[in-house]
Amino acid sequence: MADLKRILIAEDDSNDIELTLAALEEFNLANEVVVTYDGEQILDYLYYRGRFESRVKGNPAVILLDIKMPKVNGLEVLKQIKTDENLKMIPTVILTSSREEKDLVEGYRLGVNAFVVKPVDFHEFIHAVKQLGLFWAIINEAPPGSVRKSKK
Amino acid sequence: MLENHNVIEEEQYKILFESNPQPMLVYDLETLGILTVNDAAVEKYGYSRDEFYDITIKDIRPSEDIKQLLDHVSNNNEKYQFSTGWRHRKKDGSIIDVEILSHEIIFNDRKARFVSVNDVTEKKHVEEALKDTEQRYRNTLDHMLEGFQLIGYDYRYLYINDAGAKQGRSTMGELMGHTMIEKYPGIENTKMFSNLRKTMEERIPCNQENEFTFPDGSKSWFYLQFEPVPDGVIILSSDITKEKAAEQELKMHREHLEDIVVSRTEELETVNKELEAFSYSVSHDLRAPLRHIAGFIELLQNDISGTLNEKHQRYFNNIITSVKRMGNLIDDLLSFSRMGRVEMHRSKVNLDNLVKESIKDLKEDLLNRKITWEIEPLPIIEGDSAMLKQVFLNLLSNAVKFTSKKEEAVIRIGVNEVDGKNIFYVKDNGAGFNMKYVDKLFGVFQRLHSNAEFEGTGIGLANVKRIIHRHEGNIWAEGKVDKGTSIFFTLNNKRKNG
Repeated sequence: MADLKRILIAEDDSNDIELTLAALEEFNLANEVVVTYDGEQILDYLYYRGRFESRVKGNPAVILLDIKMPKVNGLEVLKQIKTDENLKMIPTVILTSSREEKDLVEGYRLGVNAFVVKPVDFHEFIHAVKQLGLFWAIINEAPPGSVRKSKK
Repeated sequence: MLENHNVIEEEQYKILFESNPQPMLVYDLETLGILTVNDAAVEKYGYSRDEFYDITIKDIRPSEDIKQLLDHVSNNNEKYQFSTGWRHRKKDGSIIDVEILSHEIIFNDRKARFVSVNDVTEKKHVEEALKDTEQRYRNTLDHMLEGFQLIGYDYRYLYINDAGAKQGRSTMGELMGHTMIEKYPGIENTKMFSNLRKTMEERIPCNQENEFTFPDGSKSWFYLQFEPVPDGVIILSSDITKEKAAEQELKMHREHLEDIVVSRTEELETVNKELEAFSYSVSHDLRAPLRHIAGFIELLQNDISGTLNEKHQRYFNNIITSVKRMGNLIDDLLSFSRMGRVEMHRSKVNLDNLVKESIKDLKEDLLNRKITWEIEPLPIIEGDSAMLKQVFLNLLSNAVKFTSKKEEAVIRIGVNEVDGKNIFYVKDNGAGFNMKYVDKLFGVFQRLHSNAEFEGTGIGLANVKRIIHRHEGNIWAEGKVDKGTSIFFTLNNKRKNG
C-alpha cells in the first residue's frame, strides 16, 4: 500500500517514469515519489478510493501531471483538483510532451501552477525534472496539510 | 335741335361701324358688290376702301368655294344668321378661316347684307393642334407596352389600353364601361384591390408586386403603380412574370451556392480538425520515444563511461545528434503545419524592428563571425507581426548560415519600389545555389545542401513561403553557386499598402 509521499506523479509511460525517477535520484527524491499510471488512479489516490482507501491522510507537496493519459486525461484531473476546496492548494505541474498552445492556454485557465514541456534532450530533461523536484519538493513551502520534508 | 341731335347720333353710329375692331362689310344682295367696309376689314383683307368698292364678295373667296357661296346666298332666307366653316381670301391670296355674323339690311335703298367677320384661323389651328395632341396621347396610351387603365370611383373601367387589356387576357371592348368586380369576380378580396381602394379613398399613390391568378388558375406577376387622378385612379402595370422567374432561379442558385459553401466549409473544418488532431498526436507520440532513446542512451553512457573507447563514444554521440535532429525536424514540421492553420492577427508592423529583433535572436550564431550588415530603412506595413518575424528570422538565419564558410560575409536587407509595389530583399554573398534547382528551394523537406555542408531540416523556406502567401504576397529567389543568394518577396499584393 502506497504511503503519503511528497511527490505525486501521474504518468502512463513507463519509460518516462523511469527517466523521471532517474532524474529525481540526484536529489535523493526518488523515494519521495508516488506513481500513478492514469488519471483515474491519481484521483483514487487523492480521494482515498480503491487501493488507496486506507492510505495515510494528507496531500502531497507537489503533483506532476502528464496530459495524455488513458481514462481521465491530465487536464481533466487538473480541473478536478483545482475545483476541489481540499485539493486546490496543492501545487500542480503539467509535465508533457506537447507544445500545443491550446493545452498551454487550457492548463493556465484551469489554474495550473507550472507548465513544463519535456525536452527531447536528456540533459535538458533531467535538468527540468530536477529543477521541478528541487523547487516544489524542497525549496517551496508547501501549503498546510501537506506532507513535510522527512527529517533524516 | 332734334335734327341736330339725330346728326350727332348718326355720326356716333358711324364711328361704331368704322372703328369697330371686328372686320365688317356690307354687300349688295343682287350684284354681290361690296357697298362699304370698315377700317378693320381694310386692315384684315389688304384691299383699300376704293379697291373694295370695285370687287364683289366672290373676290374674297377661294375660287373653289364660290359655287357654295352662290348657293348659300340664293337659298338664304334667314334675316339674321351665324355661320361657320367659311374660308376667305385676302388680297395677297392667303386664306383665313372665318365665322360670319350677318344681317339683312337696306343700304342706300338697296337690299344688302351686313357682315361681321370673325377670323378664327388661329383658333382653328390651335384646335387642330389640340386634337392632334390628344390623338397622339391617345395613340401613345393605346400602344404603350405597359398596361394603363383609368378606373372610376365606382371601379368601372373608364379607359384601358391594349397592353392592359391583354395583361388581363381581355380586350378594350370587353372591359370598358364594366366594373372590375363584374369582369374579375373575387378581385375585391385581393391585395391588389385593397391597394386600389386605398389609393381611391385616401388619394395617396402606392405600388406593389402582384401575383394575379386568372379564372383558369394560371398566374402572372405584375408590377402595379396606383396613382390618384381627378377621374379616379390610374393603374400602370408591367408584366414581370419572366423577371420574377429569373429572380426565383437566381435565388435558387444563390441558395444552392450557399449550401455548397457551407458544406465545403464544414468539410474544410473537419479536415482542419483532423490535421490538428494529427499534429497533436505527432507532437506527443513522436517526441516521447525520442526522449526515451536520448534518456536511456545518456543513462547507459553514464553507467559505462569508464569502459568506453573512442569509437564507442563516437557512436553514442552520433545517436544523440540524430535524436536531436529528429526532434528539430518534428518541431519544424509542427510549426509548419501550425502556420497554415493559425489565425492571422493583422496590425501595423514595423519591419525595421523585426530585423533588429531577428539579428539579436541570432546572437549565438554570430559569435566568431565577421559579417557586414547593410540594412536599408524598411516601411511600416500591415500584417501578422509574429509571422513576419518568423520570415525575417528564417531568411537572416539562412543568410548567416550559408555565409559561414566565407571569410567576410555581407548581408544586405532592403526594399525596392517597382510599379508602386515594395519588393523586399535579403541578399548574401554565401554558398548560393544553382538556378537549375530554384523550384526546389521553397519545397517542404527540400534541401540543396547536404547536412554535412550546412545543417537544416528543409522546412524553413517552405514556412516562409507559406507566411508570405498568407500575406497575399509572392516570394522568389536568385542565386549563383558560391556567389550568394538573393531572396525577394512582396506583401499585401491585394491591399493598398505593401
